[in-house]
Amino acid sequence: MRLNHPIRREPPENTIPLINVVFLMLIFFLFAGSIARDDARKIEPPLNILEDETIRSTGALIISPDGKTHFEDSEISIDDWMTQQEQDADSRGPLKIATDGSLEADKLEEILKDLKSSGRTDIVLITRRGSK
Amino acid sequence: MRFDAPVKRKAVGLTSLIDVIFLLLLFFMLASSFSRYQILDVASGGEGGGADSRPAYLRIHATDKIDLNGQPLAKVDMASRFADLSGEKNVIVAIWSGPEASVQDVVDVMSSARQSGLKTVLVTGN
Repeated sequence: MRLNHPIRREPPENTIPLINVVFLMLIFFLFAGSIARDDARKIEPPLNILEDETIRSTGALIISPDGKTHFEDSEISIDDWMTQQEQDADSRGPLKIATDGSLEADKLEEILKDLKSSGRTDIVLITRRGSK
Repeated sequence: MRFDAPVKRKAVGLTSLIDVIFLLLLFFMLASSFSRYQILDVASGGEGGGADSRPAYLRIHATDKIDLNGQPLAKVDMASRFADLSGEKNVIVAIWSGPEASVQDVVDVMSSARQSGLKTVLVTGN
């Protein structure tokens, strides 16, 4: 009697369908998401029914619900932010401000007045796309 | 020298490929954000610009208390009232907001007016 007959090995698991699915997920996240830093993630910008130009919130002046102005996670005064924007060569284009939807409109108008007094006329408010 | 030695090709391992793809997937899943923002121009109307026609004056006292040229305006028929206004030419809607109005209220009114093709300006106090 021969005992050392060859051991039957399990065939390796077929991994091709797994790779297919993972590839599809990778492509989805590549196209659907954006890597750009989202500065406005902590606040909830107001909803806007208009279908307008999309924009990134990177580099925007963030106004928290208590009326404080922030830039990149640190508090900043409006004047400091303005000088920073003037010096920064990459940030050509409109001045972006992002506020929480629940902020008092008077606070926003105060900040707008300060920004306008410097002579800039291209100020945009960041809104969320959405319908009611 | 033997040139005709049989070349043995080993199949490329798939495991390392999957490793890299998983890492890429993990990175993109964690690093990407899905929020979509859009712009609303709030700077139109500088100081001292004269208007040709009388602007329509819209006041937001609170979320549900809006009046247009002195007459109360409900949010549901805002669009039709703005459409009536846009029949006249060059009408600008001047938006004043009271202490109880929020940014969302102002944005609602502004986007509704712009949808009807009207220009808007924000009236800032003092």
